[in-house]
Amino acid sequence: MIPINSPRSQPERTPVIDEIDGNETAQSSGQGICIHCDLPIPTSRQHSSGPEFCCAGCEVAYAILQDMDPRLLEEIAEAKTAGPSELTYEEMDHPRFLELYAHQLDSGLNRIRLHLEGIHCASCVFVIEKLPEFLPGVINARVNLTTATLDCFWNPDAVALSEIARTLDRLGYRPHPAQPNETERLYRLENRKHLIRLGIAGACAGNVMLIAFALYAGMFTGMSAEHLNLFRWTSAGLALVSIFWPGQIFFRGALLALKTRVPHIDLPVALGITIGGIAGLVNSIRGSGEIYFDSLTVLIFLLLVGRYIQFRQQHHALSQLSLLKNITPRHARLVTDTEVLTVPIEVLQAEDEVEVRAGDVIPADGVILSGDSSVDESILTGESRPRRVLTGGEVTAGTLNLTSPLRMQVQSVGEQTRIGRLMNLVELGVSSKLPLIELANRIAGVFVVTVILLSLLCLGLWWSSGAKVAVANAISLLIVTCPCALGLATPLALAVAQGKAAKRSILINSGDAVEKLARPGFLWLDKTGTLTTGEMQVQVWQGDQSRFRDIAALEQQVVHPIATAIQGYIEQQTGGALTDLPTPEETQARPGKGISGTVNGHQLLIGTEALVTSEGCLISPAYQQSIADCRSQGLTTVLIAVDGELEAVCGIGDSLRPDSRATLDHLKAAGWSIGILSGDHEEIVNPIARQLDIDPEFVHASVLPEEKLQIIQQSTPRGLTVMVGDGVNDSAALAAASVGIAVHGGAEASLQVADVYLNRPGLSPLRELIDGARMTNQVIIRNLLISLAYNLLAAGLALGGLINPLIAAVLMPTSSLTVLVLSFMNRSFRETHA
Amino acid sequence: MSVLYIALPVAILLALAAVIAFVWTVSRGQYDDLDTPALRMLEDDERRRPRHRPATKNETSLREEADHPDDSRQQ
Repeated sequence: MIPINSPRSQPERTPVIDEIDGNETAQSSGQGICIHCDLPIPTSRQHSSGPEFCCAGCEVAYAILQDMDPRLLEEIAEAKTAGPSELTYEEMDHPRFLELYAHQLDSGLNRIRLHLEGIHCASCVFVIEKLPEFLPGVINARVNLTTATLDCFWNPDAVALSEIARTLDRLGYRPHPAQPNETERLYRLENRKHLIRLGIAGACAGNVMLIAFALYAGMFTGMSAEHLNLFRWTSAGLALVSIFWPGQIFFRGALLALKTRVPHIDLPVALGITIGGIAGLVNSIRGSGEIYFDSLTVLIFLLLVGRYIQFRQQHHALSQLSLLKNITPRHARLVTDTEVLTVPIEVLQAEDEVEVRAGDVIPADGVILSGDSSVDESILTGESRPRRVLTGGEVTAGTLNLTSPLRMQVQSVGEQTRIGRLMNLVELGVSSKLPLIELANRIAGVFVVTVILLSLLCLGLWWSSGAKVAVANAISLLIVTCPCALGLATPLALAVAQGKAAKRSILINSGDAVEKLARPGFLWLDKTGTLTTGEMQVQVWQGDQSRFRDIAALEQQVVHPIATAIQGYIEQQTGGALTDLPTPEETQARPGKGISGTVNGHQLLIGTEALVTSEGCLISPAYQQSIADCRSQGLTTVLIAVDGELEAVCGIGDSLRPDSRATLDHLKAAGWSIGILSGDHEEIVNPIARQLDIDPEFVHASVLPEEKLQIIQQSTPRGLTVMVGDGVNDSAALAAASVGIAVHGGAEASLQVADVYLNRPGLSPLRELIDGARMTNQVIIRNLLISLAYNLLAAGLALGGLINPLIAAVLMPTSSLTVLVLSFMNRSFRETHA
Repeated sequence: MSVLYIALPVAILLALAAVIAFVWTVSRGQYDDLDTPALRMLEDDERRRPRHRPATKNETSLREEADHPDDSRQQ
């Protein structure tokens, strides 16, 4: 499962590319732990002086414990309220927002549920629930630590919601409205129904088992017919409750299967329950023969447990999808006749005019009315290079405006946007992916019928030797063939593998994935972020290195992946020794082309070949050659001219992850077919595919997310299809593939729909996963063979009358024990030397 | 007449009581959040007193009401 401790995505700052385990904790490991609760301190809270805390809650709690003066709390709260905040949350006071998210109570109070970022320990709960004490007007604040939500009751006449939000923000918990979600409510109700069914089935099974002990004991010591009848009828009563209340879901499923004429696991289960129940009842009435109520009730209980686990897992995958809405920002800047208003995104309608500042996420699909900027569309298309947009150009929701402000006219909002439609596809993919029915489940129904028939056969065979012997042998058979081991074989091996994999930072969401990955199939890989590091890096630098300071000073003026790459390279080359850079003058960003400016009296021009030549700069043949070289490698070339002279050429591109090649070679050797699905241009993808020896037939460049999904869907019927990716643009494909694998550092959307998450950089965990899956499958097969062989042997012995019920009772657990030991001793997911 | 005729029904009744209690707790939503209430009880009651002004009667009752949210009224 994906760990819950991931920081929620922050729409205002980083749209979605939040690492799941948070850079924060990873980086801070060397930088100290919270003085109060020992959790690592996130970078955002690292101060230079004084004791350090992981959250505001710990700070308050610590202060209170240090000095029991009650005024301290108030003082700290006031200090926090006085602190600066970058967000005003004014959109939360918009009537439409309140209508959508808040709930008016009869008492005149309002109630809202907010998702809070950064809740992670008891102290957080402590300080947030103190809200009514330092913010008059807030009546009650209740935190749910599991879901990181706050239920807040406030008096709208005394305090504005934006004020509450600002206070929470200042305390360090950034609030987001939680969608009043119908599916969430239905889930809660369904969850409770499941729990009640489980409780009743468990109680019945437990009591029937206790009575069964008495009955089995009575076999040896003898029991009066009167007591025997009492026990039988009591367990019959309990079993009927179990069959008709919790057990009815099997009958309903079976009826549905009959109606739709689609075979379903519920059919044999219902059949088994019916036959067992009727046989038991008949025998109870007759007052002789075996009653099957103990096995029946336990079977119902165990099947319900399995079903509940499956239900929870499926919900986990689906519920997280609402978070995908975080890809688009929560608010937009609506342009009215007189002013620019911050409004919640729900207010936006087609034809509205919206302002999008540099660094903002674009809130809706639309057309640019005015402006000239670059847009980072990698989230949607996977293309690593920013695209220039001009007046009249189209932009899509969820993408990032990089360089300068834009005015746009909204065309479609919410679910109608491209990203909204994509997310619908993702949801469809997850919900249509049928959970693999556990092998144990599949066998259980048939098993029950077989065992009952066998015991009847046994009874028949031994009838001539007297009823007593016949019954004893039949019972031995029933006990000794207890399906525990068979039932345990698959889930136990999978659970052990999942645990071991988690220790190796491979998080497996569903056991199915392990079963499926055991045999080779078709492996589709995304390029950006999966095969490559996903970051623009300077790979070729030809020319003068003496002007690094000036170049860095100029590049610091813009937010652009290429500028960041150049800065990073310079920092690396100079050993990070660049301090007090000169201030450039006359800086001019030229969207889609480059940047120019004067630094230290020199005129610098950094940009494309077209830009540099248009400024009258000549390119010598040597540089011509290096430009051509860069192009052929699929690198973006950037030229640097100083005072009209070309001084350097650099090639910038995404570099291959160091372990990509070795991993793919290993997988190819194991029989996997490998292809690339990338949103990036052919000229960038093809050199990478060549480096990795991937058949050009299976290399798809410039594919849209919808096309990725299509390729996966076409490929699925031909066999096992595995998709490995990291971006939002991969998420639909990840959800549709037989097994979706998200790699380290991926977008939240992709992590949530993936079956497996590799929480370690690089591709080598993929190799470990596939090798581990193969070994786990061997363990499963071995377990099944052993328990089947055991049951066959035991049934044979019982049929032959060679064991009595006591020996059977001793033998029964040994098979389970064997399976248990074998599962834990398996060698999958051991540390391998890649 | 054996003691079993009393003991067995008693045992079943006890189990029934447990099941009823379980169903009651489930439908009250007590298993919806398993983490926070355990922490909340560590809090000192003394400190829950508002400092700016004493809570009005109305507010106190509202708080109590909010502490036991009725599921039917949840959003």
